[in-house]
Amino acid sequence: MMKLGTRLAAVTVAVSTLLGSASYAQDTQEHYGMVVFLKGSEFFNWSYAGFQDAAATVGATTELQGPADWDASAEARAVDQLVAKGVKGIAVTAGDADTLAGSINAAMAAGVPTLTFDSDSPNSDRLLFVGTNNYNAGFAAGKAIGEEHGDEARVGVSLIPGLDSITSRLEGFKAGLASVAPGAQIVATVNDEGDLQKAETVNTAMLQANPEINVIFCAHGNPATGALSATRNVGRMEGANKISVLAWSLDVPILQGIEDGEYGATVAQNPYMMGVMSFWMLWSAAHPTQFDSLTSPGMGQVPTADLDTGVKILRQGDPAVQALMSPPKI
Amino acid sequence: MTITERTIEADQTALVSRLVSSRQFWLILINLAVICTLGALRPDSFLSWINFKAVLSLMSYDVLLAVAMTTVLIVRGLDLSVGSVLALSSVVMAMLLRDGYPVFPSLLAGLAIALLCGFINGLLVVKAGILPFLVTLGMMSAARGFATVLTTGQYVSFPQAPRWFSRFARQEFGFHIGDMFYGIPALLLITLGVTLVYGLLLANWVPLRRMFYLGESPEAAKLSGMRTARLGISAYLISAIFVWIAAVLMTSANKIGYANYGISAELRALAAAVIGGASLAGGSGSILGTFLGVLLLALIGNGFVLLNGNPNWQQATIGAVLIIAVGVDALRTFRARS
Repeated sequence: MMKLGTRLAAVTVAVSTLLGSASYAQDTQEHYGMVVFLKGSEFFNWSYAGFQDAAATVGATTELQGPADWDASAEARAVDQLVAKGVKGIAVTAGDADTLAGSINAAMAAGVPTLTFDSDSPNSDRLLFVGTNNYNAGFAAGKAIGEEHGDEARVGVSLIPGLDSITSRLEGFKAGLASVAPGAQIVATVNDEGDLQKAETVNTAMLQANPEINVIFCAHGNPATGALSATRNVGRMEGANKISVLAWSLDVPILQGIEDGEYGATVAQNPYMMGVMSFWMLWSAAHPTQFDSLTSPGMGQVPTADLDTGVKILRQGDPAVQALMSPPKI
Repeated sequence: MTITERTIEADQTALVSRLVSSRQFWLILINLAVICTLGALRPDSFLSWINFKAVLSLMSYDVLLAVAMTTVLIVRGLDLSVGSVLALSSVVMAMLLRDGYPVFPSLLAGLAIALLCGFINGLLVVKAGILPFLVTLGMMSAARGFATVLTTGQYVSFPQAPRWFSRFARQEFGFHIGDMFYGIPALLLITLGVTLVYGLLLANWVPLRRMFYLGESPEAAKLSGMRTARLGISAYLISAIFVWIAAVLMTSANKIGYANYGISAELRALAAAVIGGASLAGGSGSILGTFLGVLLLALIGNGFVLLNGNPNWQQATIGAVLIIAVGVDALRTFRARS
C-alpha cells in the first residue's frame, strides 16, 4: 500500500513537471498580431501568410484581426485589444491614417512595437512603414514601358487626381519612362474617379481624342478592366494597332487577363514580402541588443527609413502569375 | 383673316409658347449646341460612330439609375442608395454564378435583393415618416458595406457561368452601310427599350400618373382616396427594378461583380433627373427630360476628355452643372409658390 502510494506520488510529480514545462513553453512562446481592413481579401491573406511563415521559423505564434470592410475604427479597436492581450508586436495596415494614429501611439507608449504595412499612418509614432514605395514602383512601371515601346511610347494615364500615393506613382512613372526612352510621351491624363465604369467612359474618350496612344497606364487598382474595355470600344484590343494596358492589380481576373494576353502587364506589389518583413521588423524591435533603436529607445534595432518591398512587372508567361492566382486561404 | 385662320394661328402660337416653356425643348437645344460645339472643335474624334456609340452605350447605366431616381423624386422621395444597391445586387448575382447556380435563379436573387432594399427604403420613408435623405443615406452605406464584406472588396468573376451571359450585354445588333458596320450594343437597346416603355406608361397610364398627384400634394391625394402609402412604396420598388436592370447589364458587360460599382452614381442620377425637370419638391419629372439630362452630362464629360481638359476639373464641372440645375429648380418652385 505504501509502495503504491509512493508510486502514485512519483507519477503525480512527474506529470506535474511535464505539464508545468509544457505550460512554461506555452507562456514563453511569443505571440504577434496583424491588423488589416478587408480581412479575408486575397491581398492581405498573402501578407498574413508571409507574417505567419516568418513567425514559424522562430517558433512564434500569430493572429490576424480586423474588419471585413474598410472600417478603420474597428481596426483601431483591434490594435487596442492586441495590446491588452500582451502581444509582442503589431503590424497594422492603416485603413485611415488619422483614425489609426491614436491606437498606434498608445501601443508604442505601452512598449508594444507597432509598425504599419501597405497603407501608412505617417503622423503616428509607428516604428516604420513596410510596403511599396510608390515613386519606385511608378519608376519600375515607366521603365518597363520605355524598354518595351522605346521612344514610340505614347501613354494615356487613368488616375484619381489629388491622392499623394497616385501622384508619387505618376512622378516615378514619368522619371522611369524618361530614363530609358526620352522621346516617349505622356499624351493625356484622365480622371476615372476610382470607378470601373467611369474608367471605361473616360478612357474611351481619351483614346478617341488621342489615337496616337499605344499604352494606357492604370495608376491604381480600379481602372484596368474599364481601360481594357475602352480599347475594345475603339477597336484596338487586338491586331497591329493594339493598345497595351498596364494594370496595377493582383486580382485574379486581371492575372487571368495577363495570361490570356489581354493586358500588356501588371504592376505586382509583394504583399507576402510585406508580411515577412513586418514580422522580422517587429521581432527585431522586440529583442533589444546592446544598441537600442535610434528612433524608439528601449526597443531593438529597426531601419530608420521605411522599407520598400518592391514591385515586379508581370507579363504573360511569368511563373509568378500562376503562383499569385492561387492565393492562400487563411 | 377668317375665324378658322385665326384659330389655327392661335393654336400655333399656343403650341410654340408651350414648346418654348418646355424643359425638354431647351434641353434638346442645349444638347444640340454642345454637339455642334464639340463637333466643330474635334470633328474627327467627336463626330465618329465609335464615339457616339461609346457615349450612348456607356451612359446606359446612368440612364437607368436616373430613371430610378426620377421615379422616387416624382413622389417627393429621394434615393441615394441607387449606386450601392446596384453594387450589392451585382455582387450577389456574380457570387451565385461563380458558385455554379444557373443564370436565371441568380438574376432573380439579384432582383430580390434590389427589391428588398427598395421595400425597406419605401417602408421607412412612407410608413415611418423618416426623411428619405436619411433613410437612403443609411441604405447607401449598408448596401455598399454588405457588398464589401461579401467580397472583401475584390472582383467576383464567374468563368464557369454560361458564356452567353457574359457576352449578351455587349452583343451588337446593327446594319451595314457600304463596307461599314454600324453595331448597337444590346445594353443600349435594352436601356432604350425599357426606358421608352416606362416613359410612355408614366405619361399615359393612370396608375403611374397617380404618382405625380401624390408628389404634388400628398394630403390632396390621400383625401381623394388614393392608397398613398402603397403608391409611395411602389415608387421605391419600381426604382429598385431599374437599379437591378443596370446591375444585370453591368455584371454581364464587365464579366465581374464588384462592390465598388456605382460609386458617385447617385449624384449623377440626381443631377440628370433634376436637369431633366424632376423637382426635389415632388410632382414633376419626365423620362425624356431625364434621358436628355444624362445625355447632357455624358456629352460634357466626353467633351472634357476629348478636349484634354484637366482631370482635376472634371468632377467640379459636373458639380457646377448640378448646382445650376438645382438653382433653376429652386427658382421654378419659388415662382410656382408665389
